[in-house]
Amino acid sequence: MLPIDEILHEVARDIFEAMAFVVEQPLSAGIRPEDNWLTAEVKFQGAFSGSLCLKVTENLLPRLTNNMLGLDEGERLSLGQHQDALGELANVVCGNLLARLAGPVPEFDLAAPEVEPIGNPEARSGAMIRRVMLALENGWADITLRVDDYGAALIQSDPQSISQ
Amino acid sequence: MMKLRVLLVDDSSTMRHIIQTIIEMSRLPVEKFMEAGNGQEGLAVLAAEKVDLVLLDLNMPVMGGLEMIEQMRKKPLLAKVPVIVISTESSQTRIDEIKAHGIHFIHKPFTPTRFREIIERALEGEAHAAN
Repeated sequence: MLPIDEILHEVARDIFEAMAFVVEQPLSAGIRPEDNWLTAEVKFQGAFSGSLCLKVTENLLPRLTNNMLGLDEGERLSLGQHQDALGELANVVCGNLLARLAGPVPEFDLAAPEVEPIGNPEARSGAMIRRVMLALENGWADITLRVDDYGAALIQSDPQSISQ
Repeated sequence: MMKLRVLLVDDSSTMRHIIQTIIEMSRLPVEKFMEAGNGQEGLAVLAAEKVDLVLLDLNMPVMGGLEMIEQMRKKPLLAKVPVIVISTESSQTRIDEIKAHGIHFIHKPFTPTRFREIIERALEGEAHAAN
């Protein structure tokens, strides 16, 4: 059984690669305080409840969206297109992550992604929080999972017990 | 394979674009590609156009995928149109329920090869049902 952080990392990395054709790689530059982010959050309810928050730095957005849409990198897209693409990525990461954490038995209902304006979003509160950062070509992705106390207890004790 | 008239129902314009691109990459013979942003819009397209295959998301505003399927099944002319649900749904119980109604399912993300396989299977099922 992989630690939860590692599962979160693996799922996010694989979805970015499969859907947006961006691969994880070491970045020489770190995150700068002035970097802006686009944020999409997917809330879920079911065997336990919580949310998956996906943030990416603004400089990564054109590559992500253009790759997902199969367009040339130079093609300019609207903020709405970037928001829709990030929301879809968050939705797929969330669905696949819950399957990895909880197995094929529990049922979850995912809400439509909520996308925030580009900026520096405030930190949210929640029960168990797991967070990973991915360096993706020319920018960063920050993925945070929050689950309620009941889910936290289940996942931390024995994730497989959720399936029983 | 006959030329297909495909209806894609998904509230994400990104996903609609991706699926259309994958269909083109899959070299499926598509005569017309139609889009709708939710189940209600999808039913409106079905009322106005001949459709050979419906590709359907589950979670959508206004009317979700399962309700759209329910409405289709009530109409004799639409009841037999093959439907493929495209979703991140992972509950095996829910997936089995969907499949029990003769609906095909593909999990996101997917490859063009896998997508073509599922489409061929859905259309073969329809051909068997018609014979």
